Amino acid sequence: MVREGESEWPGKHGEDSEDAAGLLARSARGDRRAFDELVTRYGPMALRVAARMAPDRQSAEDIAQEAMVRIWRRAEEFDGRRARFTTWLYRIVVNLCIDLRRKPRPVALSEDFDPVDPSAGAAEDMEADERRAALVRAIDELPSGQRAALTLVYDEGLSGAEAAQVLGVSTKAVERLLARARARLRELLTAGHQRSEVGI
Amino acid sequence: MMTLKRFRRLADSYGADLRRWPERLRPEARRLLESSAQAQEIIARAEELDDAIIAAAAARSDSVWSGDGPEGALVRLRDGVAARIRPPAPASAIRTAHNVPRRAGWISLATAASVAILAGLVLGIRYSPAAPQQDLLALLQPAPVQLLSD
Repeated sequence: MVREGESEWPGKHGEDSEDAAGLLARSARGDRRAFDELVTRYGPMALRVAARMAPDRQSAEDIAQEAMVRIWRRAEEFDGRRARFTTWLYRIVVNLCIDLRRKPRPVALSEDFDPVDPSAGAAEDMEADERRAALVRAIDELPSGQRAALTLVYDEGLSGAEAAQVLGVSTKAVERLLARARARLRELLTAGHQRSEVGI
Repeated sequence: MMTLKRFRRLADSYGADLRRWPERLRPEARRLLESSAQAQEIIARAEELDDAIIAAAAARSDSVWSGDGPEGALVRLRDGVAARIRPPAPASAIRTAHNVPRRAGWISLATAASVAILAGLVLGIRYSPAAPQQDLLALLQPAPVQLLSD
């Protein structure tokens, strides 16, 4: 397996692969305690990625749970010599998030959507907040592949090659996804700057 | 040698932090960055977008985990998973699960059917009137054993 750039980037995905594989092997034999340890150790990772890609907290928690249950049910299929456990987990979580986004769902605004800042003289802060909120919305609206690539490389610190393995595409394809995502977000930021310069 | 065009393309994908870039290209990228003002400009521009993306991601994360935070989510995850999983049966039990209960199912079905037939026969004989009182009732009565034997 190509593990480009793994040594230097301080990603959050570091794992003692033997440990994970060992826990998984014990889980495959029905050891609930080993699996509980696996959930404790890698659950935060599943939750983090799901929270970046799912529309809301409940969906993120459901996805993380479903991913862990799938791992339990398919624990004996995992081959630690062919792939890292985290790659497998990332793939399951990302696929579940993509599947969820394919399903039509009602758009509901939360109660605290677009809250009004009561403090006076907070114009600059508001502007920064608005720009950030617009960027969050823009990230949310990115196509699934772009969003997954951005999450894996920027948030999780995976190399292009590792993200490619998770997404089942080439490294070049990941680079294209990232470039398109960044171009879209840059466009939005530039438009925001221009609006603030002309006082809109 | 890395061209400025290639450098720009990589910055457009991976951003300003060279640690995200493909490992084998980093030494060349660093050399170009040290020697080229244009490369430095590309990185400065990419950094601005990186910062915005990181801030947006943090803001989203804060809004998602408001309340009891990721710790509470982990507790719910552990509880939810524990409630849904059952330890896989050992190999011998898997064989049993596939074969024996299926056979046992057929045996129980056949036994139940036999008991029902026997009960029907017993009840029919026990409660069968000597002579039908009405034509319609007669049709519902079990046939006399001697007729079946003809």
